[in-house]
Amino acid sequence: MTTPEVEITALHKRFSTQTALDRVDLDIAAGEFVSLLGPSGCGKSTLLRIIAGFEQPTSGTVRIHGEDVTGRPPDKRPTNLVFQRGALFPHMSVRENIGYGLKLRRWDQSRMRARIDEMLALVRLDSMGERLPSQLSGGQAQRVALARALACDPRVLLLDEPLSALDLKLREQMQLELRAIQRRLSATFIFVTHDQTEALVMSDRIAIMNGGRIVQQGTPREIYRRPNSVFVSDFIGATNLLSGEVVGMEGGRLILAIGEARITVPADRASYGTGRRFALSVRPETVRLDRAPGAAGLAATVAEIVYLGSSVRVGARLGGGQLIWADLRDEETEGLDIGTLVALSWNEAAAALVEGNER
Amino acid sequence: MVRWNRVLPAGFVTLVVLYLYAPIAVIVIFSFTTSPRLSMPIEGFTLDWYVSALSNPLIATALRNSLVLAATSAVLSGVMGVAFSFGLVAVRRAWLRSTLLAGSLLPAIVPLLVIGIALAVLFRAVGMPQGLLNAAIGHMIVSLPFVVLTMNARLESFDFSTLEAARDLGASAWQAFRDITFPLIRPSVIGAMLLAAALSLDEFVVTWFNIGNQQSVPVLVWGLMRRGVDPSINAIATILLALLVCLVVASNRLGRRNGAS
Ligand SMILES: Nc1ncnc2c1ncn2[C@@H]1O[C@H](COP(=O)(O)OP(=O)(O)O)[C@@H](O)[C@H]1O
Ligand SMILES: [Mg+2]
Repeated sequence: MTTPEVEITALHKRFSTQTALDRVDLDIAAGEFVSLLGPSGCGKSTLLRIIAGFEQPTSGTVRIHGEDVTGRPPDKRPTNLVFQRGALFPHMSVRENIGYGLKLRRWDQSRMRARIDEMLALVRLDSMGERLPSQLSGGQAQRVALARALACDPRVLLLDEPLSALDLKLREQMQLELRAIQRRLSATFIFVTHDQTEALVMSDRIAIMNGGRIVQQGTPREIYRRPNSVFVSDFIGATNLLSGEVVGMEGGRLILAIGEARITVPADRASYGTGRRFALSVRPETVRLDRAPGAAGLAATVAEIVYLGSSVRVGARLGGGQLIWADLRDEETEGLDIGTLVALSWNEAAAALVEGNER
Repeated sequence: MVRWNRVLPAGFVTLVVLYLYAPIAVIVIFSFTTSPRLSMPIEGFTLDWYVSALSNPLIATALRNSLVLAATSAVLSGVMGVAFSFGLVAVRRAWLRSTLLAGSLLPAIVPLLVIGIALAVLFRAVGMPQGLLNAAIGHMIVSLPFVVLTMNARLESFDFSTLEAARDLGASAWQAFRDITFPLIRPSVIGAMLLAAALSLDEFVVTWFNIGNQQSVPVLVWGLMRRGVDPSINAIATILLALLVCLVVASNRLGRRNGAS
């Protein structure tokens, strides 16, 4: 097995009054695009800043390309950081900004000029080289910040919510651009965001953080389809969380009581005993809604209809009072009204049993 | 018809401007007129008062002392104020930071008389004879709050992540200071120093209590005035005025350029 490009082992970080990171372990392969995703204050920036060398961990190690870099200052590490607000040098032109790291490395003029041109082309700002940062738009400034960080050819590029200050359209465009650049360079990117869509769109792998810990790692698909906790299923995408109790087993399947209703789910883990409480996470787009009298499924009454344009989100209330959301195509909702009696069902495989049912 | 709602404000503004500038205008005009007395009408134009002022060894010495005091106060209170302000923005606890800031600005509203006497008493207690050095220390106390005020305003809007960016790109702490911090704060530092020099040039109260037998321009002028009005005082005042205007204008322009960037 090849050694990971970045190896984070048992990382702890305490600030005076609070623990920002609590036993974080994370391995990142060369060329991988990994997102650190989590709510504000969960420790994403702290983790990134420890990798960059701006913070020292209370304990634990950071290895890059097999080498222990814990304790080295930022200027002695093979990493570069793209800051949330660019942090461009306001008194230097775009070219001088991009060339700053190269100047410190004493590159000669002609080689430096060629490298700056290459970087400007990479971020599609060829004609902007002589501008000052104050003459750039938000999106252009972030591209310069990216070019400046990439110019020194770091082993690992760290990005701390670099797109969060941009408006939605530009952000979506930059997400794709950034991803394309990462693929072209086959560079290792660690990308911090609190925006789940952004993480899903861009990443090879997502590490979800909460309260200073990594609570789940996996590909976007794994995380979306198989969240391992109420927190993750709720944080990533919209979901219905149905809390229920295990009331029996039947041929390798669990029988779950959700209010009055009984449903069966595949038992993919050994630890499900009778009497334990779980939550079932069901994505709205997997919920089917049947109006035929006597159709199989959970009986419910339509209580909300929200028109979203590309789809319609319908809320149906179970006998026990719980609301379940279903995303339907517009034509599927014809004749549907508040008060209509329906039967709700979903593919068993689309539902995920998650721990921590208390909400 | 007379439009009173226009004439009245205009008249009032004119009066206030006259009130503010008439005394200054008088002194500047009489520094260039032949009549040895402050009398109207103006008789003729001359530069004699400047020649006699500058060739008077007392005045020349006082002028030199004033410039030395201004330069010392500008450089030392500049360095101290900048260092203090950097320390201040690094303080994490907000209440401590605002307390320290308020504390450092307080001398600006303590009566100069109190500062002057307190320093004189202190210097005597430690056995330091009165002189230029004592006056210079006093001027630094007077200027320091203004330097801190200027620098604090600059540093509050300073994007410290640019320094981290520089370190991240491979700069040592010193290189980051040389390439990023210093060029960005230079206009404010120079502006603050010019302001300190301006405050020092016309400082009288603290100087008078501490300078001993030496003379600065304001102290000398005060002494000359007691013996009767010598027209070269007009010339000295005008020189002082010109210096101050230059310093304050330059200080403001630097401050503005800084805000724009
Ligand atoms: N320099 C610091 N001093 C004290 N506490 C800090 C410092 N930096 C971060 N923290 C705390 O550590 C926690 C994690 O912060 P951070 O890593 O910035 O979160 P995120 O980037 O996920 O929003 C927060 O509770 C924050 O208040
Ligand atoms: Mg953050």
